[in-house]
Amino acid sequence: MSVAHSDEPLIEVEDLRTYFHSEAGIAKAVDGISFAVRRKKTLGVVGESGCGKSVTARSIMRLIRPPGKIESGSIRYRRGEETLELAGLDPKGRTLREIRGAEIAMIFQEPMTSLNPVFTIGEQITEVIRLHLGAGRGEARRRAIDMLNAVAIPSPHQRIDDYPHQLSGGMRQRAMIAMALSCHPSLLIADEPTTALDVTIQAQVIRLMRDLQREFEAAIIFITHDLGVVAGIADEVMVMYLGEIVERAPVRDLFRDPKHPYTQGLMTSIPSLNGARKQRLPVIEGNVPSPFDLPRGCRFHPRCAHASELCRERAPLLLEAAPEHHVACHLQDPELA
Amino acid sequence: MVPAGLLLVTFLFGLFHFIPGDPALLLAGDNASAEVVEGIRRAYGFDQPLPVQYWTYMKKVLQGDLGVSNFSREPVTALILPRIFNTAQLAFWSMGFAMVVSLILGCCSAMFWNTWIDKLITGIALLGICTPVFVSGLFGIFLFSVKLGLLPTGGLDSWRSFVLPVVTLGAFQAAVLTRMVRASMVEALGQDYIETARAKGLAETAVVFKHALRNAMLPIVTLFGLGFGATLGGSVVTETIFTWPGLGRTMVESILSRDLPVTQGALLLFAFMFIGINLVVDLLYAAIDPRIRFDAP
Amino acid sequence: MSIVSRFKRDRVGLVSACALVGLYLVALTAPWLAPYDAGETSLREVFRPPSAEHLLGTDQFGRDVLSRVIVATRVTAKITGVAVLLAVVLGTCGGMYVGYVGGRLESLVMRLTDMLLIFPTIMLAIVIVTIAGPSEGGVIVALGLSQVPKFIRLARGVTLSAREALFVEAAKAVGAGRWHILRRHIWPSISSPIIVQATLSLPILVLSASGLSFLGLGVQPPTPEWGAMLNESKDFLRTSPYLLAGPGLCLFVFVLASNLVGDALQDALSPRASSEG
Repeated sequence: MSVAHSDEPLIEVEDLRTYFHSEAGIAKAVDGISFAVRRKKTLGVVGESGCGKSVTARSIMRLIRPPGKIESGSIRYRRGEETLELAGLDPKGRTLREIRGAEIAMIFQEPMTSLNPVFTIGEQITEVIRLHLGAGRGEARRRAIDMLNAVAIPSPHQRIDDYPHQLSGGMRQRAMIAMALSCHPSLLIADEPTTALDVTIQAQVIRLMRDLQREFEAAIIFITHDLGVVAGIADEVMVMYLGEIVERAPVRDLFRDPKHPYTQGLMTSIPSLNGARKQRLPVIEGNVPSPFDLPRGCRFHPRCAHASELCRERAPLLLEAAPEHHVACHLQDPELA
Repeated sequence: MVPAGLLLVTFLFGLFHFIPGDPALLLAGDNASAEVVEGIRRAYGFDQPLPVQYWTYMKKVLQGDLGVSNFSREPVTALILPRIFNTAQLAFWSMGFAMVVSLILGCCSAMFWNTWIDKLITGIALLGICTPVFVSGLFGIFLFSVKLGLLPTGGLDSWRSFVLPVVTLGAFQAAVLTRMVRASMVEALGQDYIETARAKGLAETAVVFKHALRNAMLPIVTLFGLGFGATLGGSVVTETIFTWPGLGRTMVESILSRDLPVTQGALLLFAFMFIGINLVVDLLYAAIDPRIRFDAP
Repeated sequence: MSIVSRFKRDRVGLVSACALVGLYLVALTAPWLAPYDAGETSLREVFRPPSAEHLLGTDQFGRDVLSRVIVATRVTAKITGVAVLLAVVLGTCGGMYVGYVGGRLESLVMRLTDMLLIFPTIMLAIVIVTIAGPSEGGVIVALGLSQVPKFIRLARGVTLSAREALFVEAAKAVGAGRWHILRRHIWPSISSPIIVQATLSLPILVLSASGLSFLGLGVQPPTPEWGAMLNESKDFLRTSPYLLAGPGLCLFVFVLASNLVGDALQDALSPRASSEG
């Protein structure tokens, strides 16, 4: 592969809109977001629950089920020399099935419920290997054991025949990661992979993911509601609020100089190391509005301390406030400030 | 199983004594003379104290002696054994029919959840559970036997005798089970691991029939066990409609003619069949669910 | 009452509830509704096919089938209604009591109900009818008792969870009697699931009641009963198939309406289950 290619984004999302239709109206879960991820890089996606970060991940995987639907936008995926438009593929079609699990893999939040309780870990890992790599039974099992070894599961020869309920939470998530990485995907989407784990295990899993990323040269989209976790793994961070990107910046810039009031609010709510971790982000005043009834103007204005008349009237655009640092806030718009 | 069996035999022994009136008089019939009644009383041991009677009854049941019919004077065991086979045939075929139909329709319904296919299947199943077998059975006889002359109205002579009873009884169970299979499948398809399976790149059929069905099988096995019991229960009515020479019809006739030894024997066998089915379901359940299999000491 | 308002939004449930109420109204006013005396035989008018005079025809004794079907509604409504009531009262009281006192009595009763639940309703009913004798009273007792295990299980389950709740502890501390606690504190959380279970039991009981009559083990002729009428019509299928229509259709409608009401009530009680199912 030439150098020029490795510099091109692996995945490029442009103006993606995913809506959910119901009797109560249309919920605009993801409403016009754009971003790109390069090889070997990690994009952190941060936001409260309901901000559309999981829907973004599932839109890329094309796992959105009715009543949800990708309304518009494009998801361009670089596959060797060609570029595939994932948003235009049949979600049950062959091409997409070949990509899922093989080239783009996903790790889910709840390792207990995300692993099938009636199949052994080994059965579930070899299933992907045999499906995508066409390996035989013995070969697939060998690979599965290698993968369990790679995610530092002790005595993988025995663990491979365990059922999910026989493993601890951390071990289950490792098995999940092993399953996701078993076909060496170029993009790994991790949807809150550490949320269900306790702090020490959380740190181990993140370190593991970083090591594996280096080894397998994968790009990662890392979704979390926890800015502290993002600091440890991401190269670039994208903060979402009510289906929109409010701020996007390299990780160091974001932590040094958060520009959006919402990001600033999230920062102050990062708990200290020994603090009560379970308290989630109550620091920002007010509740997240219903996605069926979005506020006019800037979606954050009902909870923003700096909201002006302009914020109530007009939605801000995502603009580059500093090099590579994008923010959607009127306060940061040089023409208006 | 053993305590249940013991309890059952005790209950059936009590059946004689639960029924108001003198059991000897009951057995002898209304017009019997005093000597005959007295003879029966002694022959059956009704003059003995209850514990002795109980012990004798227990011993006899364990030896396979269920007494003799009041009317034909045949041993009850000889009378009902061939009938069990007929009832078992009817129940097995009906349940087989119901299982196949309900699995296919239930999975289809869940797979196409909330589409017209789902609504059509749910609608048919609803109509099915509201049509008792003695309505659909009589209608079937009218249509296929009386009008079209394709199938016999009853009895058990050839494979054609099976069609109406099996389909009538099976269809009702199929309707009941389809609703339940669908519910189990919808539940399974809503689980997180289904999304994992889809994210792995599996085809939708593999997702539904491997990952979802394998999990839904746990409740479904229980439901099928209950369904098999219900089919046996339903066979009583079905046998009466189609004059099927089975245990259920024998039992009903014995109740109507107050032939208590036959009633007792038939009930005992039915009860053991229900208990047996339940036992098989428990064993199957343990075989399917790894969580039970491994947690057991 | 959110259950009521949720139920009201369910159009199918509402229509079937109306149908069910309608059937009970028919049952109540049966003697006045019936165009003829249901028991009046007329040897000159046997096996008349449906006509303007006899909408559903006449049977082998020249009795008006429509009138018999209408009067039979009353029989079925009465039998199933009383049986459900019997099951609810016995099962709920029993379940609440054993769930509340716990201990060895509870485990014994639960073992017993588990065992009884293996047997289908119609089999339990047949056994009880054998003892009680085939009659209207016998059928009511048989059907009622056959449903008791279900209510014991349900009531015990809810009682167990309610017992742990703090408010009961508080009430106990004040020194309230056992029955007072059961009635004032546990009954409120138990009533909705019991009502749903009662509605779900209704179609089963209707089917079983007519099934018993069909077998000749239920209500005895000449009392009109759908199952018994169907059994009689069996012998005349060749010549007078129209005899099937009236009782068959009524049975179907009664069972359909009660099933739909049961489903709707269940959905209203647990909206999450319905949105997933």
